[in-house]
Amino acid sequence: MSRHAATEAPAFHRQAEKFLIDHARVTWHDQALWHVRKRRDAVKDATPDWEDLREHASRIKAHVLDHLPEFIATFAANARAAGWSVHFAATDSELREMVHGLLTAAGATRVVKSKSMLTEECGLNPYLHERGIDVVDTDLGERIVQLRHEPPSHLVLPAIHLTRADIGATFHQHLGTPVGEIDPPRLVAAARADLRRRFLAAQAGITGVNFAIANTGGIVICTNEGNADLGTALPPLHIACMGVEKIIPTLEDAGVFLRLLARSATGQPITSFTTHLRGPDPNRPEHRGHLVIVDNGRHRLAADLEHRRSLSCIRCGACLNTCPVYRRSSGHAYGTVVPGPIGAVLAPAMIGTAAARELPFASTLCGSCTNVCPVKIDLHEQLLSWRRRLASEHLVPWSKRFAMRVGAWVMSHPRLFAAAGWLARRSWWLVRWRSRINPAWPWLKHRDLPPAPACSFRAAWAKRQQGKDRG
Amino acid sequence: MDEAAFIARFQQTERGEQAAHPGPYVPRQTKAADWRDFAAVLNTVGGSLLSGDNGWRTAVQGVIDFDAGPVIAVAAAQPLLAGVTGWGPAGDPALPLSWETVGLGILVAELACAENAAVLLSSRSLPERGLAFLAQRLLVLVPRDRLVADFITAQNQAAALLQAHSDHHLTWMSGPSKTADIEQCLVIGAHGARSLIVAAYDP
Ligand code: SF4
Repeated sequence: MSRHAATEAPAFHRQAEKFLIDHARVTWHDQALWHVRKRRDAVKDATPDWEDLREHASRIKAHVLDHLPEFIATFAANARAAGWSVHFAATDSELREMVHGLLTAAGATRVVKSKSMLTEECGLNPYLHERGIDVVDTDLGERIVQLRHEPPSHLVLPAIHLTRADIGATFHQHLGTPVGEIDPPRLVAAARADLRRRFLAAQAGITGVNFAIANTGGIVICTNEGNADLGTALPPLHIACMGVEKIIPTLEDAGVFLRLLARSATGQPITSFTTHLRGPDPNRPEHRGHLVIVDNGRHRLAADLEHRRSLSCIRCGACLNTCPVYRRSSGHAYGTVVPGPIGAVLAPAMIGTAAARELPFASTLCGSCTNVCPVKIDLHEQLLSWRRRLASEHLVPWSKRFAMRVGAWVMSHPRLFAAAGWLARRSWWLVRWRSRINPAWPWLKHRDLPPAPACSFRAAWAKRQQGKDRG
Repeated sequence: MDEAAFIARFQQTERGEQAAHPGPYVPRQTKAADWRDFAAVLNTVGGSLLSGDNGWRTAVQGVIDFDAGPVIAVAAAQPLLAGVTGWGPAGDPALPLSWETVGLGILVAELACAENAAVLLSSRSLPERGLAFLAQRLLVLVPRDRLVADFITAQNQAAALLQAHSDHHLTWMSGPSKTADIEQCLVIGAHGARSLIVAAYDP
């Protein structure tokens, strides 16, 4: 079963609340991500044409999304010419069956996998495990969460929710590192030794795709660890899985995205390894390369003119790092494979508005996500437009609707508004006191209400004007 | 699902605006390619540029002498290493598992980019692809005159190489393998090489 299906009753606020219990961890998580955001800012500031690159990248993506059928056909034809066997999967179950079929046909039971949010979305790992295939995630962060039976909590930093002590305990249990070993270089060395063995013994490698290049039929994969390169260079069978939205027109265009991707993700000028692959290696005649192109709900987003742009996402994670809600609730709270602002924008289209109804509200609409997005997705506008759609589909809880109605009514009657303000200022101390002893409103659980102002804004303004008049 | 049916899912009745391709990106050319810039960025990503005051071959010999070995050079590097001792040939690209025990792998890159300290490995210069990721340490030789300043130009040149030679693989390598997955602590040597030295050679 896919994780999408498994998460049909999301309760973002309840999940977030669980994370918020441990104050020290929340603060640490918040700061770790803010640190990544600051690194991104530093390299962005050192790139004088940053805004030109963003604009260019967003226009390339818009062009592809407006011509998807043509691009799918061109890419598929060139991919075949490059030596790939090309397959299409309409749904997550088609992808799972396809990959399983390819592995079984090759008799492969030992599989190494590099990072792919798509296979995560399609629930590939559990499906293969149930059928006796040993799939090992080879990205260190993904390996850590795999050993802990957890999903990744971030797009590029899968284990960002864990401390070195958590990871040390996991490695002690599974990799036999000494009790209390929490030194990152030593933990990495242990994982390296274990995974080396698995790379050398693997019969197949599964990878994701960062960019699929229409004019070359090649795929571009970016990693810092080199795990995708080992997983595609050594085993005789390579299966790459990609959503249709990964297609970009040319290898030259990839240059624009590559200048943006790693800088936005981690503040690096480029990932350590950026590999363009065209089919199986001709030096290894026994090698086979398969490419599975997946829809799984993407056609719905592509047909939705208001939200089509969200398919431009290059999964850099910058919008997560900058989001005050994500930073303080962690990726697991979202209950979707893609968390954070982009996750909240994709979810209603991908898993349905009813299942995702809480997520577009998991935002302050501060717009920071929109500002950092390297492909200029108007994330906060998209969140707002999903809120509108949820309201029109009656998927907003009655309490929120009622409060909005009352608010609208009061605000459209000036005298009533003034009276309500007067009353609020006088009774504010009571509300503050009440919220401190037992906050009924979730907003107040982790913050204090500010003191009430002495007078209304109108009164303050009037007074100020008077003062000016007197000169 | 077959291709036609799959593509049909994306045919839209309402197509909306039809955004055009913005055309090639024109980089703002600010400065000329400079190996000192390359070296500075390479240091930040965990690699180092070999300084060749006494000639690049002498410097390369120094790296080989210092290495615990075994030192293995890919076919493309072998003619360049004439007169340099202490290395062996990489052997058959079809037998990559034999590279698991390699200490230092010597590779040749097509070009280098100063903006991000990346060097370009191709199927022609590196049919022995597995070696680049199995060797414990790497020494990459780049022709001195093949440095470009910005990555847009560099990527355009990579695309031109592909056009000309239909390479199976093209890899931009920027520093050694690394990870920051444990509490954002940078650790060099996640899966691939634990160190990367780049040497500019005079062809
Ligand atoms: S929406 Fe933009 S910022 Fe967020 S992950 Fe995608 S590309 Fe990055």
